[in-house]
Amino acid sequence: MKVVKQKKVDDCYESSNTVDFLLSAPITKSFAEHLGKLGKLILFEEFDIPYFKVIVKGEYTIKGAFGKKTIRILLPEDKENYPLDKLVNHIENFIKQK
Amino acid sequence: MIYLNNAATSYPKPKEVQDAVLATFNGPLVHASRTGLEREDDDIIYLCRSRLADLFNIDDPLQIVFTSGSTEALNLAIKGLPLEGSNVVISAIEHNSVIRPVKTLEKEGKISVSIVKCDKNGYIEPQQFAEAIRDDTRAVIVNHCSNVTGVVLDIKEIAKIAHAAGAYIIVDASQSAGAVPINCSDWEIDMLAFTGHKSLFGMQGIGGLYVRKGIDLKPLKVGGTGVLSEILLQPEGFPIHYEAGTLNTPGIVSLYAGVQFILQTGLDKIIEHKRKLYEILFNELGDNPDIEIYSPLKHTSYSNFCFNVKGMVPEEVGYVLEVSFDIWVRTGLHCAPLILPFLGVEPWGTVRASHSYFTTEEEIYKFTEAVKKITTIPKRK
Repeated sequence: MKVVKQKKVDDCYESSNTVDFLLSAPITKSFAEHLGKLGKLILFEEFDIPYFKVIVKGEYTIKGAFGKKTIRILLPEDKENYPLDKLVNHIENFIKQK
Repeated sequence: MIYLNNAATSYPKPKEVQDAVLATFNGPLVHASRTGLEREDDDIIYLCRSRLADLFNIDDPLQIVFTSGSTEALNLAIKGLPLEGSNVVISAIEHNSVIRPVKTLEKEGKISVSIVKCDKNGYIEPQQFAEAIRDDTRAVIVNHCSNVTGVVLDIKEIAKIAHAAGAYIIVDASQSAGAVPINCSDWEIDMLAFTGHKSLFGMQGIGGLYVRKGIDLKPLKVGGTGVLSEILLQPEGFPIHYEAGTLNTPGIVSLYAGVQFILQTGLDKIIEHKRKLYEILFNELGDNPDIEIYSPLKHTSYSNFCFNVKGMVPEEVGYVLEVSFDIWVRTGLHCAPLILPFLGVEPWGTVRASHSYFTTEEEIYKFTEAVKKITTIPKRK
């Protein structure tokens, strides 16, 4: 999995320090579980399109849904240029599991 | 996709609007003064003003000035009046399109601003405006319908109060135009700002300002008008004094078609459809202990369902609705920051689901089922 594009979510809806990652492939359950290794994975498989959150305590929260190619990362409000290299590396270390 | 963000911009547009806009690309957009009475579209600009005058009960269509939307219309109204040295009264349910122009003038030391409080649904009794008006108040600027909760204020009574104090009444009808009845003549409105791309079913980039006869505004811009080119100053009179530059004709065409659609369908029928959907929303979610609703049951446009899932930030509710259920709503502050403390929703705001005449009951039931599922997400402590 590659991070194709990063985009800061900047609009008048929220004041959150939020970044979206566009990924090179659709999100699968195994990819969500891979992200879950960073913290606590919460999965809602009963939703029309399964939704997940990964809470990395004291750092950030990742959100996404199966089949989509974008994940949203909610960063600490007070850290404008939060380093995301570690997360990008973790994503790119994902090896697709059958 | 289930689109419930019509308070931001309406979708879909009536087929008539789509066809009318596409037709503008089939030939040159001619000026109304060109010859050719056989062309039915040669005076579309006047026809649009006329239909708007019908919808808003305005005596003279030429008192309607086209703008890029409500924000420009409100800037024209607020900056065009000689308000320097006076007090301006606004309400807590205003959008930033009112708040920012008046707060800018206040920062520049030109005016003072008083803000009338609202209740937990955004409603304001007309008498509260009387209590806020001072001897030096020269304008009362009020939102007819909140873009957050959908609450509708009694403009006729507020206008009476403003006029009794010698103040102008300027109405922001961004949310109400095409959604609830407006009667500029009977309500004695001095200025009414509206946008085309919400309940009037036009496209983005078109709106207008109605100005009552006898009110002299300073224009926001001057320049070419296509007529009276020998005059070196901006020609006087309505609407030309305020419409420098090439008009947004495709936008006007879309607005004309949108207003025609409303007049032909009947505003009552549109309101009744939205009322039925509103009833379903309250029936399905009104008693849910996990949901807090901010939209009122009375004094409403029946267009906005404003709520939060207890223990969840609205951003997450909106995100899950979009990615897991393909339902589009809007979350956050809605560009209306003054109302938040009265709703008790600081700092995150609310979720707003706004339906339209084209929203179906089936779509509303899918939305309410999705919200019920979302309430199962673990809550913040």
